[in-house]
Amino acid sequence: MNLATKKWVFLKLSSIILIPLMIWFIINFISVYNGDYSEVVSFFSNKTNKFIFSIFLILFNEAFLSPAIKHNVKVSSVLKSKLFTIAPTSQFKDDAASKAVLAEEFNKITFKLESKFFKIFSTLFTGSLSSIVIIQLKIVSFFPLKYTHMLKTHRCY
Amino acid sequence: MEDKRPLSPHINIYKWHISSLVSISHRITGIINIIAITLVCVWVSWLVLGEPKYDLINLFLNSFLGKFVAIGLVWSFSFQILSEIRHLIMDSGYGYELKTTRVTGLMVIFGSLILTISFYLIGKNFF
Repeated sequence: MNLATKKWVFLKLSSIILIPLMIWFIINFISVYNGDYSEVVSFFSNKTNKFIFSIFLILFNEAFLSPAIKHNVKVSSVLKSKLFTIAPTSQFKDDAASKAVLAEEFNKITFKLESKFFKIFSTLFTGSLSSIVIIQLKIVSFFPLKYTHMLKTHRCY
Repeated sequence: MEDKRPLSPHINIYKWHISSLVSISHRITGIINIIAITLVCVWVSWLVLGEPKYDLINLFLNSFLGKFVAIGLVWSFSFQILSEIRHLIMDSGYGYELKTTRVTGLMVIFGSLILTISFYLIGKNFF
């Protein structure tokens, strides 16, 4: 099986898996989107929700964003590395410290987004957006900092 | 000298068909979903900044515009789900007849509206 066929099969498989995940996401999004702070935090602190949402984000990214940017990467190896990087999710050991560092990381990323605001949206429509920023946002949002650093040192693209 | 030769048919002279409408909508909702997921990530990331800063987003999400965006997102995903199922069926070699493409296209369009209402009601625990 050549690379193009593998990519096609992977896209179709991820589409099949994505259908129930999208239904799960939409129903849960509607149930929490206008809830108060503690409600949203408790939803995303739940290990099951966190895990399902992470898988949803990874597959969504692979199925929708990656074909658009047409990067030349072996899909299976990227998926494996991503799953390896984020699979061992665990709660923050030192919650307060982690939050402070995460907030700092988040500020850095949002600064990048602001400075490249127009570029990001224009490139998104032409299908050449680098997904690094988005992946960083996703990872920073959900996983302990050590995994974020692992991802940064092991750049997928 | 002016060239009087006829131009080749362009996209704007074609009559819209259900299949072309579903196809272009599938692409548009795909782009909307990518942007939406990115914004959802920003929304979740905002949680780490604490409750006072989160209240700003909460204020927006509880406004009319916020609810409109949320319901729009549900429709966009509903459309994508049904259109994806249609694509998967077509990938397996079925549903290429003219009548069938028209019927499945209509099912995607109207089904997405029904799904949107259903997902919203399920999410809000109306059932």
